[in-house]
Amino acid sequence: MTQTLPETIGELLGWGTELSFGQDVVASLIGAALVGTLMLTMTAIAGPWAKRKITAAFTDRIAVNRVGPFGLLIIVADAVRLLSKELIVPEGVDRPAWDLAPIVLAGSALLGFAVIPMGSGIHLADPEVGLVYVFAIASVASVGLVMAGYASNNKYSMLGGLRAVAQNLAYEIPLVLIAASVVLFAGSLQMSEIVAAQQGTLLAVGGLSIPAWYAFVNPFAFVLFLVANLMEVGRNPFDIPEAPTEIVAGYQTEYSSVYFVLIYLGEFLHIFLGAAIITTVFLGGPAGPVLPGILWFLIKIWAIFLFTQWARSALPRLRIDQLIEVGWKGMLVLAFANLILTAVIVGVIA
Amino acid sequence: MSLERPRERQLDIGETVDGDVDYDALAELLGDRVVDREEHVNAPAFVVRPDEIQDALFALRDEAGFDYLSCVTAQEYDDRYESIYHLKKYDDPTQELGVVVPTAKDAPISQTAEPVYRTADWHEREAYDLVGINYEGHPDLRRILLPETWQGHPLGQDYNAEKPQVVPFRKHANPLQPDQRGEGDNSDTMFLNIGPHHPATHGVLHVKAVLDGEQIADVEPDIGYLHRCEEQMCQQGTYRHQIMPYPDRWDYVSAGILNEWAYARAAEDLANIEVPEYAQVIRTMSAELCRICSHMLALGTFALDVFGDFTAVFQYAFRDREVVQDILEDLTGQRLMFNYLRLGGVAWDLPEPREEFFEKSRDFLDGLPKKLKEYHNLITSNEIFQARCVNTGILPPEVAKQYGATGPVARGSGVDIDLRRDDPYGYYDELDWDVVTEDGCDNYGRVLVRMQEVEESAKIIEQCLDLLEEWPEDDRTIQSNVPRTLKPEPDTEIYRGVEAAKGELGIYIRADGTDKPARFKIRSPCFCNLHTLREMTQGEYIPDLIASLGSLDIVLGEVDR
Amino acid sequence: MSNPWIAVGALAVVGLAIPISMIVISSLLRPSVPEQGKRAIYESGEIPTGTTRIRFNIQYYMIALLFVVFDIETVLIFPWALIYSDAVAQFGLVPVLGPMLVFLAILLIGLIWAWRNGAVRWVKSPRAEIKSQL
Repeated sequence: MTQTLPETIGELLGWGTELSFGQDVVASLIGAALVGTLMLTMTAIAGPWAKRKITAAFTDRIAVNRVGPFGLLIIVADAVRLLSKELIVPEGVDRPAWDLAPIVLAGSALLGFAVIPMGSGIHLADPEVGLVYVFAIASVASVGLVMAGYASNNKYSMLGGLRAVAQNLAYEIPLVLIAASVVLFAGSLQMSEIVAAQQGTLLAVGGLSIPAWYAFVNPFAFVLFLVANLMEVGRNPFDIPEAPTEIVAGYQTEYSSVYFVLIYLGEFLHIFLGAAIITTVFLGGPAGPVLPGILWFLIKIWAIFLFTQWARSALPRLRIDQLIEVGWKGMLVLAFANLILTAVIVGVIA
Repeated sequence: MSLERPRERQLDIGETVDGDVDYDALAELLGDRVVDREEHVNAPAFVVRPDEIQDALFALRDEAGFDYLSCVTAQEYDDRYESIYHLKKYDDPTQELGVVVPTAKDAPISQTAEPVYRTADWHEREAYDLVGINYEGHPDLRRILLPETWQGHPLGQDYNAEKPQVVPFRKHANPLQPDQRGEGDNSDTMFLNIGPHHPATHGVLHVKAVLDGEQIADVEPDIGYLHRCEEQMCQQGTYRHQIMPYPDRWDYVSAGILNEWAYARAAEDLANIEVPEYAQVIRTMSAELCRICSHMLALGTFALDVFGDFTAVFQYAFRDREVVQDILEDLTGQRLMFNYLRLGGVAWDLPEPREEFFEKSRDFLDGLPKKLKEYHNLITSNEIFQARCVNTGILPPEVAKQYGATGPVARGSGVDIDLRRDDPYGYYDELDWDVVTEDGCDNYGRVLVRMQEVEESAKIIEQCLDLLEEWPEDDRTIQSNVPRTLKPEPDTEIYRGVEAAKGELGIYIRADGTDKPARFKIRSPCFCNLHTLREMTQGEYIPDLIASLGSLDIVLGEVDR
Repeated sequence: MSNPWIAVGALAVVGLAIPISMIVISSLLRPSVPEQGKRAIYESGEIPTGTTRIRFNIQYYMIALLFVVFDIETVLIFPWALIYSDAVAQFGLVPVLGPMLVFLAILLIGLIWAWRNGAVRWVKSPRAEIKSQL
């Protein structure tokens, strides 16, 4: 059993690893605040700065470079700018739902990080159903999108909300089926177990050893999962619910000020959550040589973030009906094939 | 040679073996429907009574093969209103014919031509809007450029421009309110305004769409947001100098010289001005540079519509367009509003040192194939792009002809028309290049046409550069001798088109003996191409509507004028 | 060993606290200039026409139904996948894999049937046919 973050904190506070209920709550809250801060920092870097820089690099431009070194202070400037904007509440919005949607979007994405192992001793919670939990939490965002879309009383928003549902229908089952094929290997739903199962060496060629990460064990499932994950986080070529050139900004058309920030935050947290799931399930979690685990974890999720931005810069957007076809006639069938093949191979080896 | 094509079809009535029009035979075909005959500079015109226009046009279309209604010009004389239908043939646009329909001053009612040529729908609406002629039997005779609530017809003689347009607020509250086609209690379609403030309408276009789910149940473009009275402004300028700056403002995204050429060609033919050969070569070269600019922009913005963000393709297209703009800036001193052509030539010679200009242009042309390959890798060979564009926005050739589509839109539907070859002007018939057509009839075909036309333009520019480089120094006349004041004979009329970036840009001018035109009419290719939008979006999805709109490559400055 | 759900609950508290604190900070910072004009719903600059609260054509209705079926089925797959390796070691390949293959086969047949009957697609609206005006 690996150590979780509350236990690490308990140890640092001199309470030992066996925590009483009260100590557990305090340590957990400290740990949660740490995780929350880390993720908030990452989205703050990614949203106003890294995304611009990456897109600019893909398109032969320079992007932000005036405020602070490398334009990094744009993060502060943008935060202040956005938070101090007037919140315009449009006519006829469905008030509780409209207010709740941004909170649901941002909060749910953050909640998923609870079960992600980020390094030795940095793992907030390790329930036995970790994998199922993280998929369940990641899907909550769809509810937020529909709430935002319907409550806004805006036609573009409603179209965006409806598209978000359709998109959810397209990716959810392949995503879960591919995850099931990983469970066949790992024999556990606990995140720490899944990471531990990837510790071995798959191949050793000369001095180089390829770790037994599931991305190498089953590259087919990895690629499928990457695509399904792009659909889940709604990035190009699957940014259909937002589709700026078609339905303006989809579900977020009517949001301004802090609500816009929250939705934006939720989106980026979601990208990072998706990246964290891929890292944990396919890339051996925080495993890696030399550097500490937390750094490897960050490197891996930023690599996947970079991948989403690459796709954004280079790929055209699918149409929603084509997405349904891709999801149900392509991904689903491939996911089934992957599951059955994996089951046969694992069975024969076992 | 590429400029000729086999002509195996049967001759139409009134067509001679060598491709001319026998107007007497046509007059015979129309019989006593022809009241009179006028001579316009471009082609003779028959005067037809307003209640027989449909019969006459049907006969001309079905039996004489005039399948292309290029333009409808309406104007008011002291004693009558007049609509002129400028007819051409898609197979040979040099075979022209005007049909003049005079109507009485007190009751300007004329039969509509809409059943014969679908494109007359919008043209007649414009004529009604600006001049005030009523077209009997027109399916939807509303104002098109001006607001529904406008008082008076601005190009009519009794129009009082000083009179304030006082419109009560209730008329302005929401002009669309009753216009919710299909949205009753039992229906579940949704009326959606796309534009004028929308990321993908390429300007201030308003598209009224009725949605059924994600699909388009009905769509209607609503134009006029960028109407700037360009025709009237041209009517108030002198031929010699004051009109030339305006064409730059029609299709304002870098197609300026192509537009200027439209006016130059019409006015030069009207006033019998010769253009020195050297100036023709410069014109040809600069016009093709503009075409590359314009097509690059079309490609970039279309990619923007399909890709969904200001991403790599858009930026690459703009980067390459920038190079062309620099070359044009060296040549004309301007980046957008070139104002480079003059009647009888061009404003000035190539910039000194000439070698530098040639080198810069050659560098661009040499790098172009590699860049185009990059575009093909990034855009046209992308599977998602193909899935989005192949077989969407279908515009069959017959429909395109009915709507008077020209330019890449027509050529993307396999309609082989290009005025540079079919009605040669400038130096085009001396050069070796091809007209690009695609049979796809879809969004993909239109993109391919534009990309290949860039290559063809590059070919033309290359040949022009060679010519200019070797041109003897003492023969570099850039302008012929043009009188300071041009006063064409009263009542000379001309309609001339050139192949602008978006299609046939035609100019109709009627002179009245002064140094300003009495009527200046612009036939905008975007106006006609945009009219096809509804046909293209049959049963399609919202994203396809956006893509189709992008593939039409409209510029609202030219649609609304 | 601490109870993992305490930590999850703690993150839930943080996950709520962050947005709410941002809203509070923003409400302290931002101006409020209420005005009728800017409260209008955005519809590309036109005055909004009609309402959004209408009965709308959901063209993926059949897929949504199928989705429910397949979603429940994935729930069944997880426990099987969990014990798969151990069970194969204990009972052999065929008794463990066989029933699941049959189960998946039934599902796949169902999918093929739905596919052939045209349920697995975006349903085209018959009313969305624009009549050509020629």
